[in-house]
Amino acid sequence: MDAVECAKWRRRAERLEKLVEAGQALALVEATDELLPLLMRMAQDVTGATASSILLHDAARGVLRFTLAMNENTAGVQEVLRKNLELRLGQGLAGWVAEHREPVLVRDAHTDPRFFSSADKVTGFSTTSLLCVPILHEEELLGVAQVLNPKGRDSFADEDLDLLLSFAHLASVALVRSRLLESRLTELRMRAQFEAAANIQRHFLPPNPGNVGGCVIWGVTRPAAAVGGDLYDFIPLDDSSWLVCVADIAGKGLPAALLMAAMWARLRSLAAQRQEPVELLQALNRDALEVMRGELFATAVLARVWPRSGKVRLALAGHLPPLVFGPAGCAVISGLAGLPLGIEQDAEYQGRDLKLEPGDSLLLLTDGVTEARRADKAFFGMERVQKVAEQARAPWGPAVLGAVDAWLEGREAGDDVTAVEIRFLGDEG
Amino acid sequence: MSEGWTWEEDCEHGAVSLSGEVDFSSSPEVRQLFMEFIEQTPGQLTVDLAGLTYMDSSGLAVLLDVRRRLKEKGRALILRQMTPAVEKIFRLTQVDRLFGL
Repeated sequence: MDAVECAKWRRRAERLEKLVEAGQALALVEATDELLPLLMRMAQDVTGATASSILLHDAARGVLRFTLAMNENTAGVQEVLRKNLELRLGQGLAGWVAEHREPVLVRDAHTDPRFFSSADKVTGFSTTSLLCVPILHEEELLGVAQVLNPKGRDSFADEDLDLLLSFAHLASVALVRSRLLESRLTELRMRAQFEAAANIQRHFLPPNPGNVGGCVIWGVTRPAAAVGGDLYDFIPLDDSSWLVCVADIAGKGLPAALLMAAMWARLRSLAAQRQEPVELLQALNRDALEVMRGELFATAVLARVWPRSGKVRLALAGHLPPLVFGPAGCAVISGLAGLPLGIEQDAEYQGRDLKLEPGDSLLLLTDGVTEARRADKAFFGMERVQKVAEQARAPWGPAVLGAVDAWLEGREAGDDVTAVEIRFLGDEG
Repeated sequence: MSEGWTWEEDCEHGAVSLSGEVDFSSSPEVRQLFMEFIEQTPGQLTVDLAGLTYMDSSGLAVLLDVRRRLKEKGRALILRQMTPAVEKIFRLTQVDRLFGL
């Protein structure tokens, strides 16, 4: 082997070594914005080029974007190329390579009709020889890599093309991996936001007031997703009665939770001026029409409770009727009528009063309880709720929820589940 | 998660048939189909629910929205042949009377 041959092989060995280094380094980088500059520097190194660029394929718009361009001369050149240039598939050399998915070696740029000279005009760079290869992953075109103007030589050679092709393969693997990591990151970020929202939502829930002077008031809600569309609230009024509300927005998840937050705020502010359940529902209905614009509705049940006497004034809007649990069993309260909130402009509500006996509990539930579905698709149903009165003792709220859990046998409930119990202690209170 | 659902339409007679199960995961798509159908047809819209085995409150919200939009245009929404499971939600929320059921 003579000196020229020897030098050639040494050069080749060096460049293959660089390719191996490139593979190792790429395995460590995760973020696309760190990845691209690294890829460019390596492409230049590996081929002994003065400048390089990567264009990424925007499949949705069918264009190639100059994502990054780098050279050894002026920082100014890089900036310009990143912002200004887009090539349609088929346009210019990179566009040709993208369209045909075949590599190209241009020994003399100025005589090759495929060369797109606008980039040179914009940047002031003068391209003499260039190598351009597609970056492919399976059937997908990810982009195009180019290297320009070899150092100390007039043009690139076939062996440079081979090297750049191997490099493009490494780049494709790295790009796909970083894309996967990015979508996983987005997913994690979204989940974190959901959890934060769920935390905030828990703050809207009132603390359980316990014994409020003759009645024990208790409530719990279990959202089906991280955030729910069920609401309950306990509002003490000036005359020592309490307003108890349970509401359910049609739907689940973040949209329902946001609307529920709006309703909660309105209920609290309305309750300062209006304490009759029927009037409150009428006012809430007008608000709901405005906020939900006919696309959603909410069901609600309102109970105004006088803890000392056990008297309750009820009204409801399309909601599951309240139940009274007592030593004699469980009765569903009838005679309450009204459409859900947010459907009709001048909705009318038929309320009623009732008197609890000592030891009785008034239960307000959402239909997540009755609609809880077992593996065989059977619903828990209202009858099973009532049967809890025979099978358990007060407090009945937790007993009903326990029965639903047993029914679900460890499966997730399909909808938000809420239970509120107002237990009248009578003289013992 | 519910089972699937199917939509069959007869533009000429302003009739739609909705079957399977509709819940919050599918109701946006169902809503979209209804909105398009309303644009493409004149007059009364009849919906056959004989094959609809389950619908949650978000599905009901879609039907209510369809009814409201048709009413604004002076058109009627007729619901036909409900399964007991679906009839239950109409009765519970008391919207059955809005549909003349």
